[in-house]
Amino acid sequence: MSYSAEISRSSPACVILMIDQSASMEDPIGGDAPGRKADVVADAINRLLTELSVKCAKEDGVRDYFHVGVIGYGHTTVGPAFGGVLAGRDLVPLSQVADNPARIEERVKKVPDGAGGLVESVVRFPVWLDPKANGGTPMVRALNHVAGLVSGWLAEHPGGFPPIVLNLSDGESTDGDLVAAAASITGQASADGGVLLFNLHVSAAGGTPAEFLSTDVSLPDQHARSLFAASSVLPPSMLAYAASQGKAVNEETRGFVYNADIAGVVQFLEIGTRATELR
Amino acid sequence: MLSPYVDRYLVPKRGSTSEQCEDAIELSAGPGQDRRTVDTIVAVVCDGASESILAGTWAGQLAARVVQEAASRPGLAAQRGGLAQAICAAAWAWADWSEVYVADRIAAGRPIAWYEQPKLDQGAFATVLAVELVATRRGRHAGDDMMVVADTVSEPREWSWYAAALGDTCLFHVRDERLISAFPLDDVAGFGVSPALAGSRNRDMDQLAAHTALASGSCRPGDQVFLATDALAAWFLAEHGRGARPWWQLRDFAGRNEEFAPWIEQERTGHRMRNDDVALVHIDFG
Repeated sequence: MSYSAEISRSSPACVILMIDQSASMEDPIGGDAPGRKADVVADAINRLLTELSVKCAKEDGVRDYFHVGVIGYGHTTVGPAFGGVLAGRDLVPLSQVADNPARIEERVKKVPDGAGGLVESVVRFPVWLDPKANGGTPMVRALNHVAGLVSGWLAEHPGGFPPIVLNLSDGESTDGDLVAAAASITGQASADGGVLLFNLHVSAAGGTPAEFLSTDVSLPDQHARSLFAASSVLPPSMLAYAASQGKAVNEETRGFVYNADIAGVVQFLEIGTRATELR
Repeated sequence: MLSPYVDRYLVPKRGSTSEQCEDAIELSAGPGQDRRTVDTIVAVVCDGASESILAGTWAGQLAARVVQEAASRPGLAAQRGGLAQAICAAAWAWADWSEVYVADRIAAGRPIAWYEQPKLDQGAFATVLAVELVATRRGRHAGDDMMVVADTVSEPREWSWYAAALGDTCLFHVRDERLISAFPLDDVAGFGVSPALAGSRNRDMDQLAAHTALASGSCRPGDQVFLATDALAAWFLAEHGRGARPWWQLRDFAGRNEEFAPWIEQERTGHRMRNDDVALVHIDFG
């Protein structure tokens, strides 16, 4: 259980993104950040897929170090949430994900101007899915669906890096105890380690955005505490990387983010020598 | 002592083709060169960072440029700032090269994809180990000017090495069945996924020089010097740490180069070596 298995084309890993598409996601996110929760999680999914694709990009295309699924849940529906030509597919090799966004938008981004200031620049922003908010929150059914995908993956890759599941939600499950259902995912393992479940909680309750907490004492409500309880402790290699980036982590730190950016979690994954400038 | 025999080996990681290998080796003196008359040999090994784009191309250009710079400025690996200057020269050349690359991709109907652009903007990255082997005349005195043009075939010479390293590509010097130098790392715990790297956009000479490590040594007949990228270097230090003599295996491939890649695969399969590109230069003073 060392979380040290190689992630490569010959030994790929599995990443499953779960997105809450229930009616409560129509509400605004708390705190100073504007926008609906549905917009925030859809944007986060698109940025996670972008970060993962860029991380694995080489001059001959994106390498299939990962197979990726996006599972949406809302109203009476649990299932694949990709838009465009990938619609209806569960686990997709990353190169196909990268080559098939539903569309590519152009967005204005502020980038360093090289002289200490910022300048506006147009960047390409791929979109695989749009915000959606409808009906109840069948999170337990979604977690059980993902547990099935994870089980299938592990049967084919018993020695590989364990699957990583990222769940983006406001935590308001309407079909049962999400903590117990999450255990159907985290109770599975490859020879390299237990399956990892990380949660991004988007909440209207406000409070201070936080990433990678070690305790739930600062969390505002039971929804947040449930998602925290359902989140895996970060394995040693990820803790070491988080610490190297200046994050305050310890052996109890969980993969739980509250109203903050989760796309950076992609950088926790090791696929080889990191490309970083000297400091 | 005659010039050493220099051999080189490159093996891509399992799952990659030889064209996708991102390690690079550049030597100033090939095996075909007359060993009796060579008095300087430059060997450069670079390891392209797997997360960067065009890492193999950058590693190859960087290694070639450092050898070229060492030819025009002997002592490059012996002076702080020598390697940094060569890296900056390679980075300036990369800027021109990458403009042509982008234009060629457009002309070929395969413009830079959205997922390539951020990495192209960031640049490519690689480690660098530059080693200069220099022959000096033995017993030379100040009044021996008449011997300057002495016959290099018969005149006794001594060899010294000077090494400059940025990152975790290593040099190992073995004498009398003992590892007498391991540079810049001497402990397997020192390897990781974030070594110091030469970036293709980094032209900060002072910063590059500050991160460059220097070392030197002198050689005797029978000595063996190995230059290795991280996977093989980590294997070497781990084997040495458990009391083995890893140079026994590495020196045995001289003249049997075709057996090197299968042996690497055997070590990977046995989980004794990480699956990564491997570059090895073997310098044999035997």
